[in-house]
Amino acid sequence: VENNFDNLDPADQSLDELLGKARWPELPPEAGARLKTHILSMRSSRHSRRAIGFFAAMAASLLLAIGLAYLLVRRAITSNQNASVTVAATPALPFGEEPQGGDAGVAATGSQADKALPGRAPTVYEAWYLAQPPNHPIAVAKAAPVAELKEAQPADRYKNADSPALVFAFARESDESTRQAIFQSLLSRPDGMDHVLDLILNSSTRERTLASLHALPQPPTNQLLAKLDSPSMARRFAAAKALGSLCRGQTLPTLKEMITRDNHRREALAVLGQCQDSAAVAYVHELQHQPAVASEMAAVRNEMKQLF
Amino acid sequence: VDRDSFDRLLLDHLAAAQRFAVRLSGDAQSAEDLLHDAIVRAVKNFSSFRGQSKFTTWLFKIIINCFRQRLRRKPMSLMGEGQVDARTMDPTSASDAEELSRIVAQRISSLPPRQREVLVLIVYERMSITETSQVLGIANQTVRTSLSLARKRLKQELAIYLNAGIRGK
Repeated sequence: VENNFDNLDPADQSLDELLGKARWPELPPEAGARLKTHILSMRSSRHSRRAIGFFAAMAASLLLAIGLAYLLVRRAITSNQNASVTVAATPALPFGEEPQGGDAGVAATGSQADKALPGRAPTVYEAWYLAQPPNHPIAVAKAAPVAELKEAQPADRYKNADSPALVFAFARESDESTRQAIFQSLLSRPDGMDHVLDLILNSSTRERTLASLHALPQPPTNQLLAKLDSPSMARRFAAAKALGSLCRGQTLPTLKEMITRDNHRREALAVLGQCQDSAAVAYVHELQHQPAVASEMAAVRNEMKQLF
Repeated sequence: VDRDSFDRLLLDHLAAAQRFAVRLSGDAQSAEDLLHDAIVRAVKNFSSFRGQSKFTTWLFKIIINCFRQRLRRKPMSLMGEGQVDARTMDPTSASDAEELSRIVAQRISSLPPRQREVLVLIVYERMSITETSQVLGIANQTVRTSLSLARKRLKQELAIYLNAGIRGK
């Protein structure tokens, strides 16, 4: 009805007839095939895009899960380390003193499960972590560092300490075997003998230092003889005090030679004055008949009395 | 309409789309390029077809849009290459029906785009004024005017054949 062209003139009717005769070139069959292929390829590419999206989502989920697991494990390790540090810092015992009760550290770690944690409430994971039985690998791992500290040997404890720290520990240590270990560690240091001589000069530590010297299986006689040449007069006499208290017979020829040659005679006389060995006592009597040496020996004895 | 149904519809109407594209563009090569673009756009926007109109109406609208886009990018000359100017032809030499059909088709494909679209849709795709206005997105009156102008122009350009036809009758 809309396309009512009944009122067209004869020319319009002729035009319609002409238009009806119009023939356009046909698309070749290959073109139709190409277009169909194009439609189908767009469909397959859409499927492949969907597959890529699926795999990308899977990869993202996997990465998220790995990241979450990493954060949980890291958090657990950090909380474990914090717990160990707290336990290690809690005792605050005097230097070298053993903790009261060998299992104190382990007990402190274990007791954390019983105590209410400060701050926020524990998470589910933390509650599970603390609730592990004692024989569980996690609980064993938690207790391991504390157990290592408990079983450490005293000698290992002072292996890396410096000389002043060892002097301090030697002065404070009440246990004889530990003190002896500290003394041996001190002597192994390059400046250890100087510190030992200082300990001898100190009246509060003199007796225990000389006792430790006597307890050594191989007293450092040669080191002490070398210290008779120390630039410090006090240390020279401290070495003489130590050698005199040791009073080993094999040092007597060396001392005699020093007196004869007037090589550190005063120090040699100081050593002999302290020595109770019979050969040394006889030699001192012999020297007292020589007036010059006798007066020097008396002066040395006075100096030794002033120092010790 | 899901994607599978849409693909089936597209394949079913591919032949009609090919004919329409050739009538608009005037040659097979341009028609294939035009259809290629139109198919890409149709597939991309297949969700916009909700079955409220005929599939051909929806598809032709896309082809028309692509056609206009191509014209904007590369304006076609009203008289394409290889086309014969009917006004310079000897009517007696065009007595062959096939040659006349080719000339008429060329003249239609050389019309201004709007007139060409209206004429092809109404005369060859048998669409009503209303359907044509929907496909082209213009008012009914504009469709009528464009159709009238197209016919007037063709009457002038094909006058020698019209006169011969009238005289023949």
